[in-house]
Amino acid sequence: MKNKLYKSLFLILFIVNLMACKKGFLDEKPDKALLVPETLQDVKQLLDNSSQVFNISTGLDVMSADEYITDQTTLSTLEAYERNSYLWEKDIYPGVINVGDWSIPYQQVFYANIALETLEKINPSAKDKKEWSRLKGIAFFYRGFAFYNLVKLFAAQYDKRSADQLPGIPLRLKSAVNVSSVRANLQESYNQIINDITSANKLLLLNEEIKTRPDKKAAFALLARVFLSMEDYTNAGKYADSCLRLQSNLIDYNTISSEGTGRPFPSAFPTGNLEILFFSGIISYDFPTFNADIIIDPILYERYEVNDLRKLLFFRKQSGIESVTFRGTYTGKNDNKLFAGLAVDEMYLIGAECLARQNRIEEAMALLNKLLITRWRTNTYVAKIASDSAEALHLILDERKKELLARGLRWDDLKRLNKDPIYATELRRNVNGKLYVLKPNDLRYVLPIPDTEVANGLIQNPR
Amino acid sequence: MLSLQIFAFAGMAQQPLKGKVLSGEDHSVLVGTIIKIDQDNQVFVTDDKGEFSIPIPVGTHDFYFSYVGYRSKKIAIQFPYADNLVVSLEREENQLKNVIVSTGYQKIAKERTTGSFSVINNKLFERSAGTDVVSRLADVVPGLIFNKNTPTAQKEGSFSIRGQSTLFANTKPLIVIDNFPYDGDINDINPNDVDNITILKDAAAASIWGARAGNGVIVINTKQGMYKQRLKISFNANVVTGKRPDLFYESKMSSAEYIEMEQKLFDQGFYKNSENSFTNAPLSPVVELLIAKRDGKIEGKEVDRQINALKNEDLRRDVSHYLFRNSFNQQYALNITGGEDNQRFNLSAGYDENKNSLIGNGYKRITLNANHTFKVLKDRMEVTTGIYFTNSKTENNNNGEADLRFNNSSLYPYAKLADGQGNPLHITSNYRESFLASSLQKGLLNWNFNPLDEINLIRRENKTNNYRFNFGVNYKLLPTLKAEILYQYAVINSQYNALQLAESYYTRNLINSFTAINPDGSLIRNVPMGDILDKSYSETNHQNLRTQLNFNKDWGGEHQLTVLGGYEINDMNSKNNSYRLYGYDHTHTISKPVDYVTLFPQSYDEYNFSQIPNNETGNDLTDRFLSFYVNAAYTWREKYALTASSRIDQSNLFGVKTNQKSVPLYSAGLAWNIDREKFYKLSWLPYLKLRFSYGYNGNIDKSVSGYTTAKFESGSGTYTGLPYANIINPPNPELRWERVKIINMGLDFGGKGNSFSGTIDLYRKYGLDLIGNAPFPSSTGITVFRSNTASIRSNGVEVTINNRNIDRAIRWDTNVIFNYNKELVSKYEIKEGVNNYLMGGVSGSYPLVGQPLYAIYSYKWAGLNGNTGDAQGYLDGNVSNDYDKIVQNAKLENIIYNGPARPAYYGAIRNTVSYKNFSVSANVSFRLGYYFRRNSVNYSNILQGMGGHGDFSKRWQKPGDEKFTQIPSLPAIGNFNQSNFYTYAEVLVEKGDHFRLQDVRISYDFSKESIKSLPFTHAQIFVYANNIGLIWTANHKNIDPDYQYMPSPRTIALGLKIDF
Repeated sequence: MKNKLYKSLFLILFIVNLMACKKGFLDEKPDKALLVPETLQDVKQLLDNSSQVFNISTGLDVMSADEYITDQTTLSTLEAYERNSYLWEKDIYPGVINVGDWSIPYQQVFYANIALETLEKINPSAKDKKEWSRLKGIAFFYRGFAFYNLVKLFAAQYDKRSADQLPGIPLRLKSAVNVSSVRANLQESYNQIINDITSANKLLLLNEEIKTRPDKKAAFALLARVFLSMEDYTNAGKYADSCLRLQSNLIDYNTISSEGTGRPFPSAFPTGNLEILFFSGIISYDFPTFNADIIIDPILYERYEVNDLRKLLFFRKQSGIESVTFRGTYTGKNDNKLFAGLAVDEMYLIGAECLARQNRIEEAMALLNKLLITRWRTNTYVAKIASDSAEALHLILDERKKELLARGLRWDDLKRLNKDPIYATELRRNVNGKLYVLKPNDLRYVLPIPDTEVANGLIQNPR
Repeated sequence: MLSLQIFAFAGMAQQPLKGKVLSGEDHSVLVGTIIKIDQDNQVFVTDDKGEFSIPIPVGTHDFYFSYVGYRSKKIAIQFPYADNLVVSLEREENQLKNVIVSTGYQKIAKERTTGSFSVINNKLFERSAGTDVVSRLADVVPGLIFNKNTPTAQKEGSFSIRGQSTLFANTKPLIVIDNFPYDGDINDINPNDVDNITILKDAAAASIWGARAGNGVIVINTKQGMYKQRLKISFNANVVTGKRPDLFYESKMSSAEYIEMEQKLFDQGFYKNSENSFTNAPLSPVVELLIAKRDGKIEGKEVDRQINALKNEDLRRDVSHYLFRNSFNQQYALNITGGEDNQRFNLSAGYDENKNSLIGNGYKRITLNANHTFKVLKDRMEVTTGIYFTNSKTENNNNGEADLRFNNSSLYPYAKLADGQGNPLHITSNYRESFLASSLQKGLLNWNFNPLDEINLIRRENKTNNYRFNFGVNYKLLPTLKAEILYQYAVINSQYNALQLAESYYTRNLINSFTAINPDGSLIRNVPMGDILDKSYSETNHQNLRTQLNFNKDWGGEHQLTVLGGYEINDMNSKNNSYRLYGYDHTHTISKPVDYVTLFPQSYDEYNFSQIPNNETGNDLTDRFLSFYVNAAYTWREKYALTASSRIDQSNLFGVKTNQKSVPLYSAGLAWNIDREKFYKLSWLPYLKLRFSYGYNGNIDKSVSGYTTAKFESGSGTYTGLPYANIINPPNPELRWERVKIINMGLDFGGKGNSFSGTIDLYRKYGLDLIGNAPFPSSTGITVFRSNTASIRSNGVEVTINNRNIDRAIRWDTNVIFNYNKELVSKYEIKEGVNNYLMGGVSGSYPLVGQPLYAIYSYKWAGLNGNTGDAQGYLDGNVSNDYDKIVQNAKLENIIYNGPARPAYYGAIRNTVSYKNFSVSANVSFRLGYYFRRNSVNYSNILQGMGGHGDFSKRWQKPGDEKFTQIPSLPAIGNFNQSNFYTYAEVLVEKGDHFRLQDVRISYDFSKESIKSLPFTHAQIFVYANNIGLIWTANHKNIDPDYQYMPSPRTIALGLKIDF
């Protein structure tokens, strides 16, 4: 009897064991924190990856432009590609496999594509439709912004007549990684950028509280920036105006304390100062951080007038030293990245420039004065006047350089303005007694494509 | 009858000698022991209780006891003899034929195997002393090596079996305890509970473990009771003391040299920037004195006097005296075991208490084990239950020198930790003294750092409870067929607490850094006053279930077939949570909330913004396996053995698609017992066996998945505070297990009467489909792609020789282990910058095709310049000191590959001499055929006042010095590339070859048979000295290649073992 019990118990155990493994046993995630993107929530979280992926802009152009100056000693402490960018060397990143200025925007494209593909697979309910559209808009915006940052560095200045002959950038519109990249031509590249941002503009919310997320105003602003870069002043002016119609308030710089040596503007996070439309920060290279030995071009500094509050708010004086460093970033108090996002002041300047170029001098100057009066000590500002469009343009471009200092816009401005002999600039650097010169329209205005890409078949930019 | 007649003839009174013969190993009775007396032919045999009774005449007689598999024993006894004689016979060591190997799925006689196994028996395992299990395997297991080529490897006690066959996946051998994989902390296992260990090395041995067998398997069996065994109690106690570490081992710049350098830099204006810095960076006491002298605040003479006094200080004296002590470890273990006809049991308890060499740090462990087995159904069913419990507590209050920092670099060597009376002194660490003084005035907390106080103000403690419950039942369905179910449930709970009291520097520093001062002088403390408590919990639940059928049939010695097959479910989940409490009050256990989101300017540098450190993390990890396996062994006439094994593993790591495609990992083996052949006539070599095996083991990389996976992050550390996700893995449906293909050939041999025996193994290993990185065009959105792209190939030889040199009253045995292993990366797609190979070659992080995974590279060296003492290298084939260019133009073609960073040849020679109850044993280990980079001066650090290596005093100083020194002159200005060039120059690479006297053990045995009045059957006392020292090294610099920074301290153990 007892034996039988043992036997049947064993038999039951044995059989139960053989069935013990449930279906789905191996489907359990190895790590609960992992997700395979499937839902709107997943997409939202991918798109909210601001600090590591999306809200980052290129930085090598800032080192190459004419705002910052440094010396041999400091250069020797920098990474080779920073030094090479500063000195406009032919080869910038010898031996470097991962070039952030190239790979980060493409990482943004990759994430945006995954988001778009995931959204494509979701059939939103009526309740979710609004969120679905918004996320789609955000993904399009990020992709367009990334493509724009890439053409800014790795393609020649846009020219309507030759754009379909010039090489642009690879336009990756699918996330699959095993498809080879091919450079589209410059016209196609810009078409894609405009398409992406226009699509975004239709889908985005009118207003996003958190400034790392783009909204409709930001899409207008980005369109204005892109069209300006393409020298399409009609469209640039139109979109700057569309943006300003939605948001035009400016900070009165008299309300910002210049006390101390810290950074004066309020933090860009999470809701930003009232001029910020969309936040993006420049890649955290060593250059140009707030290093005491990387200074602002003294000639530029001298151009700020005495009553111009920017002279106080933008710069940090060091005891016993003549030179100044930059502190006036809109990133504000608590992040070390330089602001390269979109802000209302840029829209004023784009608007003014486009008006001036259309010979609407009074409107242009009015817009400029409306901006500048907030930058001057109260009751000291004397409205600027211009007798012709050239003078107006001259004033506006000068203020553009001063207002948008260290915003990652200067390199693109140089590329664009060099086409006009009046504004063409020859850049010079004097390092350790050696003179480095970058002539207007030099081939070196277009940065080289990283070696790994060239090895995989992309056409290199001549330097 | 004849002998009796002789005795009778002597006409003396006869008395029977009564006694018993036992096995010296487990004290079981030896039934059928043959007893002979004097030179007589008469043979007596012990009965079924192991007892005998022999009538013996008065006088002295020699008794000879012999039993198969045991050493014969001769005892001279003077009659009359009143007591019962208890004789214990020692098992023959090196008795190859009697060795049982255990794979975790079965136990089989070694002679029927075809694979490469090493068995460590209890005696060899207990030869060394110590708290943990694994370190006792050092230098006694062929093929196993403890890696010491990097400080990390050393610290983690990394070891490998037959080299490494993977790049980035798991490199640890699988540890199996009592049939199931063990994923807990191996330190939770008390070595006194270990009965024997089998190491599975080739495919035939290990492939039954499938996807987890790639790095080899260590099978540990804990002690179990035996049927029909009398109750046995044994007690073990030992203490181990270790010398405090020798801090003077690595030569450093003296305080005088350091101060002179500071003076020189001061004169050059080097400290000007720091003096005016925004960050309030610290300046050393000497620099502060020099500033005071320059500014006329202290009189020059007084400054000079104070500086001269500092020149005689040496921080290492204080550290050694106040932070270190001799370590002292105690270990006690009690074991009770026994068995009857149908049940057996084993109970054990252990207690360990370690006081580490760092004052304030220690370890305590309690282990309790109980297992019981009984038979029912007329012995056809066997049921086993077991409970294993470990409680351990680790205290880590003292970080030692790691906390002694000055400006994030090493502390100035003239720092004093205590005054003459032993009262703690503060050191300058993170900020300028003047800043600290002014902060104090502004109302901030005292910001001084007194390292000696910290030990008592910080309490870091880790407590772990580890439970294992085992249940097993097997049932003989037929005489040839057995069904078996095994189940194990394991829970590990651990809790970590780090209480940084309000008075500790850590806490004061954090509070002060996050204190903002309002214009009106009031303070805002963003980090509240009070203690800071870090807490983390982890819980691991692990279940294993195995269902197995065993078939075993013997056709009259002609054919023999063993087949086992089954399936196994493995489910492990671990959860981990940690958090931090600010403003904590440890008496009332209350805390205060803080703002983790805002970036606050630091009070010592307004441009430095930081969030309050938030140690909140959590994870929830699950590992699941579903495995099917089958293993078969066929033997024909005990001459030829054929084995085959196959296993399929499926897991939740890779994604279902990959599992569906999974290919079994398999092996096959062949063995030939040559000595059983009729033609075999070598009587001096009665045991000879040839083995061959082939097959695949697998390995796991948990970091990859077949799906597009993103990792969810809380976002609490970001500026927006929004939760976000990172894509960590692009889709890779092609992903599969790493495989290790192993071909092994072995020869086992044994001499007559075990005068000698040995094993020779030759193997080839191919790591295939290894998960490696391939560079990927970054326009795809990813820069590297992790997939099955790499491979490694290695060749090796393993030799074990045991020889009995003298076998008389004095016995002398020699055991030699010799290993050769050479591994080469055969496929890898990334070529790194040369710098990575120079600096990181030793770490194994930068595989390079055609080279060992761990390798030393260097810049070609052209000696010192006779006029300047500059280090010289080569630039385009010419001698040059243009370091920038040398470094920039370095290519794989123009740098030197010195050799592997891990030994190609290694092993040990162990000699044991015993005489009567005395035994002395010494182990000499050796490591040959590898290189290491020795430390020397780094002038860019020295010229930043950071001090450096003691080679400084031997540097080139004037022309002619180059004849006896290779240490470059001090350059006028620091150049990073100069330091880089010299640090990685050929001249600093040394051969690592060395012989070391690893340990010596002296023991004395007492047994009842020689001392009848003993209250126990057997006892042993021993002294064991470990890490004794180098015997020979190839380098002439007196550097121990295994321990460049600090040698492993010598330890001495005293132990006692009693069996009742």
